[in-house]
Order: sequence, then structure tokens, then C-alpha cells
Amino acid sequence: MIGYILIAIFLGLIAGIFTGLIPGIHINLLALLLFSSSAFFLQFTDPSILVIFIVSMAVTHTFLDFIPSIFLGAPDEDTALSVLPGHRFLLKGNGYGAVRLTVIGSFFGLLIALALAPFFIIVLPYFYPFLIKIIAFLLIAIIIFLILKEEKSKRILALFLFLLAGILGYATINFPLIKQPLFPLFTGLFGASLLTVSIIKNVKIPKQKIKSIKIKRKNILQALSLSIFSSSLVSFLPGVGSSQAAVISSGLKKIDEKTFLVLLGAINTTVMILSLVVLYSVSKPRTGIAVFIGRFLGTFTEQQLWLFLAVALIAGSLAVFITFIFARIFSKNMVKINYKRLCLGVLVFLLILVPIFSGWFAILVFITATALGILTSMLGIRKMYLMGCLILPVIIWYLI
Amino acid sequence: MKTRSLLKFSLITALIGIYLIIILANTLEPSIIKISDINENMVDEWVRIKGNVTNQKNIDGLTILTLYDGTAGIHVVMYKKIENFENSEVIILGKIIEYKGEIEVEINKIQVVK
Repeated sequence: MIGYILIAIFLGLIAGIFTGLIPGIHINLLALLLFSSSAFFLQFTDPSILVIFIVSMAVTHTFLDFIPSIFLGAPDEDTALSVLPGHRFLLKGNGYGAVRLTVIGSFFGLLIALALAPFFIIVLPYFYPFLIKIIAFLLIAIIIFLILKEEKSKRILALFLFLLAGILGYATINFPLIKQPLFPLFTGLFGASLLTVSIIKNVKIPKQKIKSIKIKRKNILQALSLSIFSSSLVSFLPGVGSSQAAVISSGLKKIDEKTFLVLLGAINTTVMILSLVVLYSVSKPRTGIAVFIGRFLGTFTEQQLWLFLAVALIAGSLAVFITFIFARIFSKNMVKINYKRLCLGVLVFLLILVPIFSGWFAILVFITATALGILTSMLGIRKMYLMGCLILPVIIWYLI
Repeated sequence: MKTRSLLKFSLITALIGIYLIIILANTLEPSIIKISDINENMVDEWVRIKGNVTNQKNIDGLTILTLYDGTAGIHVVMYKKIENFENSEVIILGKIIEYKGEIEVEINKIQVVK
């Protein structure tokens, strides 16, 4: 049994590296492939081993997926908000340091999620009905608060962009002929728009330093405490995830970019781990991965939960070093590549992936989202407001 | 490209794009499939199914219809109370979901076949 567990963790790490580093390849896709071929694998092993593979892959993914986001400007929905601060660090030669900040967040986020697990198991069933009722109002309050905190001249524009992104998100999510609607939406709004602006402005990437960015312990604690609150809140509610948690945290306290990257790392991993706890505690899957784990297991025992959390700890600890190695490789090779060509290459790559994963109509969403992302950059408005693409549909879903 | 031109170009593209997406999202629909063709690998996909409503019940603001099309039956759900469709032939546009291990369809649009 131990042998099977170790093999599953190892293969999960490799799969997590693959999904984390290649834009567009989501863990849900591999989990779906595994589920489709589970009849074959279940001849040799039992469902718990397949779930160990999925947990190991999912945790590794939450560490690695900041690398394409920061170095290539190609994020997924969980890392979208890291693109801009990450890119700023990249332009100062600190891409590696930026990734390290997200790793600090992810690792401590993992520990926090493990520490919160017993508390969640006991308290969750009591709080769940109450939070369902307030989440829409909480999101509205946070958005109003964020807009009011902007300079007066930017408030109307921020609201306008939030609403435009919201309408775009709502229409895309409800477009019957588009599969995986978040893929063209997020790669356009946060990735392709940044790459296009970089090409137009002829951005040059300086030589990257392989060293950490200094951050005060106080700021790390600040990021972690914000992530505990927001990740706990979104982990057991349908339709909300890491992106909304980041927006909620930003509304609660103004933090600098370094702290923000730690926060994003922490949220990304905490939400993933807590989705396992939520699946056990209230039998409701809140992430794509939790859906597959639920399907594999049928009955989810407490013993299995602790086994999977132990697997998450092992995979997460190893993912720290794996992420450092890949961030180092990216840093060393960034200067060797013509950045303009790299941006063009990634743009073309994304444009090819969009119809493959989401269908032909998704190209229209991709182009529209890219234009909206460029508009936001040109107007000097924070890209946080483009999260309206997910927040507005969630508000509508909860209110209607 | 000058900043101002890029600004104008991106604004116009975004507005036209959003307008087109809204129009297309409301007019284009997937073709009708047999209920027996629906499986768990299709969770989150949009489908259109046609059949007879053999049963309808409301539980705490949730409406559950049982739909048969001659090949199989399926539960279709809506998170609000709706008019009675029992014994009617309907076309349903919705998303496939999984609830407690069972495949269901979450209704987005329901239309009576005349």
C-alpha cells in the first residue's frame, strides 16, 4: 500500500508540474481523463490511490501555476491577479523573487489549511446556511468599498470597467456553445492584454536576479491572516473561489505588491486544501477537483481525509523546491529569448488553445476580453475590477 | 500605435464584442440530444433535450421535473418555483450537473412544444 501511495504522490507531482507550467492545461482536464479511464486503473489499485494522485497533482499545481503567470503573462483563473504585480517585478529583474513570494504564501497557506481542518469539520455545518445568505451582499459591499477608496477621478471608470467585465462574464458563462468559459475570459482579460501591451510598448526584460525579495515578517503575517479569513469564507460557497477571496482581502486592507503576492499564493493553496475538508464535512464539492474526488470515493471517511491531507503536506513541501528549480530555469533563460517574440509566441499559443478547449465562439470572447484588459491598462485602472467577470455573475446567481 | 488610438480601438472592440456575445449567447443553442446519450463525463456541458414531463414537484423553492424522451428519463431542476409543466412536451436548455452521484440538468430555458 505504501509503495502505491508513494508512486501516486510522485506521479501527481509530475502531473502538477505539467498542468502548472503549461498555460491552458487545467488539473480538471487531467482529473477528467483519469476518471474516464478509471476502469482500467481500478484493475490494479483502489480509488483512494487515484485520489492521492489527484491531491498531489492539485497541490503541486497551486505552487507551479504562478510561474507562467509571472514570467509569461499567461495565467489561469486562480493566478490572474498575480500577472500585473508579477510583471512589474519581472521588469525589475525580480521575476524569481516574485515567484518565491507566492511560494511563501502557498506553503504557509498549506499549513494554515491543515491547521484549520479540525475547526472546519466541527464548525462548518453550522455556518454554511448563514454564509449562503450573506455572500452576495458581502461582495457588493466590498466592491463599493474598493471603488470608494479610489481617487475621485477614477471611481466612475472603475465602476464602468467592473460592470463591462461583469456583463462579459455573465454572457460568456451563459453562452451554450462555449465550453470552459473561464479559459478565454481570463487568458484574454489578464494574460493576452498584458502581452499585447508589452509588444506595443516594446518592453525589454532585464537580466533576472536569482535572489529573494525582502519582505517583513509583519507583512507575511498580514497576508496570511487576510487569506485565512477570505479563503475560509469562499471555500464552502458555490460559485466563489480564489479570485473572489483575493478581492475580498483587498477590500479589507490596503497592502503592498509584495504582500499581495504572498496573499495570492496563500489563498490559492488554502482554497484547494479546504475544498477537500468541505467535501468531507458538508458533502458538497466546491472545486472541479473535489467533484472528481467525490465521484471516485463514493463514501468519504475521516481516515481518508487525514490521509489526503498528509499527502497534500508531502506534495506541497516537495513542490516548494520544484517551483524554485523551475523559477530559476525560467529566470536564467528569459534574457536569452527575444521577449517580443516570446510574447507573440505565447499569444499565438493561447489563440490556438482557445478554440481547442472552449470552441470556435470562444475566440470572440478571447478578443473582447483582451480588448477590455488593454483598455483597463490604458486607463490606469486596477485590473482587480476585471474580476467583475466572475463577481457580477455570482451576485446575480445568489440574488435571483 | 498611439496611446489614444489604442484606447479608442480597445474600447470599441470591447463594446462591439460584448454586444455580439450577448446576441449570440441568446440565439445560438446546441442541437437536441437523446437523454440516453447524457453521461457523467458531460458534467458542466450545455445540452438541449426534448421530452414529456411525467412528474413535477416543488421542494423549498426548488422545482424538480422528471423528463422522458423515449430513450431514458432524467431529473431536471430549477432553483425557483415555476409554472406546472406536468404532462406537457417541452424542450429544455440547461447545464448538466451532478447531485449526490446522479446526473441532472439545471434548467436555463424551458419551452413548451406546441
